[in-house]
Amino acid sequence: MMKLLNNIFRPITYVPQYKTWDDEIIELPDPEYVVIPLEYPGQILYKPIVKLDELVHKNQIIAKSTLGSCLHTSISGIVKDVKPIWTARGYNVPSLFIQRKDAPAFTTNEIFEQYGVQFTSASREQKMKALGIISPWTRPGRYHQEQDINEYPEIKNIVIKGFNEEPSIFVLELLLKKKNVNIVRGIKQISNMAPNATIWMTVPKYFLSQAEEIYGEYVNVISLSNKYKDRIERVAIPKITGIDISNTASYREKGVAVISVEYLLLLQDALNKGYPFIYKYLTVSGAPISKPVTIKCPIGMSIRTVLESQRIDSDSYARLIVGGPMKGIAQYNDLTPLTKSNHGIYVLTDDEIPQDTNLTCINCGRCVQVCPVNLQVNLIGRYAEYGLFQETLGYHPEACNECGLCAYVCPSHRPLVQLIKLSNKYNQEKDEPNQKIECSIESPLEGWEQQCTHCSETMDCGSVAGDNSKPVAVRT
Amino acid sequence: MAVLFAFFMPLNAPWWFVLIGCFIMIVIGKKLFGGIGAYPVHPVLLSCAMLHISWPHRFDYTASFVSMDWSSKMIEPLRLIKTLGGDAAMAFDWSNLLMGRQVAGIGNALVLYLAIGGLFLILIRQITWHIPIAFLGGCYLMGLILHIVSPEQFATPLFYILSGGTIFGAFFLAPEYTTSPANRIPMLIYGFLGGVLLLLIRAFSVYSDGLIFTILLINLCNPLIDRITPKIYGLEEIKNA
Repeated sequence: MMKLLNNIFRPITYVPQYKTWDDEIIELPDPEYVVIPLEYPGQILYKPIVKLDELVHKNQIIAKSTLGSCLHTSISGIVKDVKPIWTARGYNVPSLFIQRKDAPAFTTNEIFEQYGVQFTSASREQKMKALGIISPWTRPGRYHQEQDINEYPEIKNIVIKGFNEEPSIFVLELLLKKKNVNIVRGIKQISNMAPNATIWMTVPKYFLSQAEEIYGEYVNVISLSNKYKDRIERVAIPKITGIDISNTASYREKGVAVISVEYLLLLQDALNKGYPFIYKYLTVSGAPISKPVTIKCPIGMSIRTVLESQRIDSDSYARLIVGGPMKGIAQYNDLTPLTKSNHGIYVLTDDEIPQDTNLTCINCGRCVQVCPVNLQVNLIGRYAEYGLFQETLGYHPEACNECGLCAYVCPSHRPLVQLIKLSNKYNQEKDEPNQKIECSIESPLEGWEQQCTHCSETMDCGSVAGDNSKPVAVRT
Repeated sequence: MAVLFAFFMPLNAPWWFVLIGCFIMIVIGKKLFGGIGAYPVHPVLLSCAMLHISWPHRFDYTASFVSMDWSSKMIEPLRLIKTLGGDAAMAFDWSNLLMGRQVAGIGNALVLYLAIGGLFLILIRQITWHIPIAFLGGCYLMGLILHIVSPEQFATPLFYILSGGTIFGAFFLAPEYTTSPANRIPMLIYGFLGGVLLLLIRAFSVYSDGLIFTILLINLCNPLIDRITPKIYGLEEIKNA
């Protein structure tokens, strides 16, 4: 009865919070196969340095970016195929398929031998690149050059995320509690790298007093409320640092770096022990699971394998979301590999999915009232629905930080975030048509040329199978 | 929508009257403009206004009681005020007005139950408090001014709120999603404007109750008022650049 009353009288913006979750981190064994995407659109593109049917060892470098960052295989096995797959973030990117075969894992020295330097004598940057850790100071985006970094201001503020903004993901909270010794070491590393920076750390409210005891010496500990609206990263970080960061600007341009506790652990492991970035922490949550479970799995594992390990069969759910319920992206199927940028899986059952979606906007104004950046979401959504992207410019859809609250409260179940994204994409492409990028694709891997999405998307870069001259891709 | 329409019908409305009303409401008021989410004014009010103008004697709560003889005040409270002046309000007890013992359609009479329904809507967050409160506030303020200026001509503001469907308009008609603003400050302006306009129509026009026309008029102001939007967060840079 009380539950019913609570349901009736709850605020419309109420995002359900988990009261309990599994405190253990479960390590999953190596799966039968992994699929490792070679491109993170907007961030980095790796070129494979292995051949088909080659035996690769766990931790071995299998691909390199133009700046020398490396990608490692997370299991030992045989390179079976390279072909484009849809990643969890909805991009079609070339990926390596590796079938498991028992072979000894590479040690740190072997990785560095492959990279060409000694672990003990390597500089910090070399170590990070060889182990697949991208420096927090670099500009996001793949097309920057090494010297570009000098154009940016010095890092003055570092914010360490101690919890995930999504209400269903507990990765960072658990790591914050469990691995505090390593995190403290990581903080020391970071403060060595940026000696003049102020370091902040966000922690969940219930953990504030303990966090101040453990980390208070090194960082300014800040607790944020449990409400999703206050936890949205793009809203919280300007508040914490006191620097106005517009939603289109990158943190780096303002001398702010935002990193997570997980990153600190990786950095710590890489610099001190020489472990590459091949494991990812994820929280699996949703109705079929009694309590959210946090797991540690090799990168490239499919969602199906992860769910099977938690004894969730495909009959018990109707839709899979990678990420959380607010910002997550629904998946087309459960064979999607989990990559470096995924933090959680949210499982939706049949009852939770609305029967009718994308009904007409009734102008109730809930999206407008709930929007943390005060956008006129209803108008943008209506214009975008009918393809009037030019009209949306006046309402500044580019200020959207895609928190998902508008779509959450919408009584017509309209895909508002997607509509805003669509108009942003259209307006952006209109501003910068035909951005030319140098794309040199040379790889020992057969068939790589056909799979490179740079070329297959546009078809006018002159790249055909067997043509190994360096083509210039035109990305539209 | 049909329920809202029924709330407005006088007691002796003939079948063709209701049929024409529904036709205007659904076909002209709603579908012709593009269905739900697209109509500029509330379809119910549009159809009621059309009926009101076309058949004034049919849309008359007092006249509908002509053939009956009950031992109560058989006249619309507002009409009495209009013809006899503010003192005539004494003829009506507050409790009678509140409990619906007055001559009106359902929507105009059952003030207490309508208020409870409206509060329920606010509690379950279907509507926000802004429009009803601003509407009633505007009503009360304007009523107070009128009452102070000429007490013999106008009744107390509370009387105007309790009679003639003010509560119904404040909670059920004005906050209608499609025809009301989406932002908070425009909501307050919209409601306040409605309250003031309602009392002006009641005081100085030929109609005894201007609820229908009031809300139609503020519906038309909605697109203009809704242009008052809050500042978008985190956008300065784009404008400067």
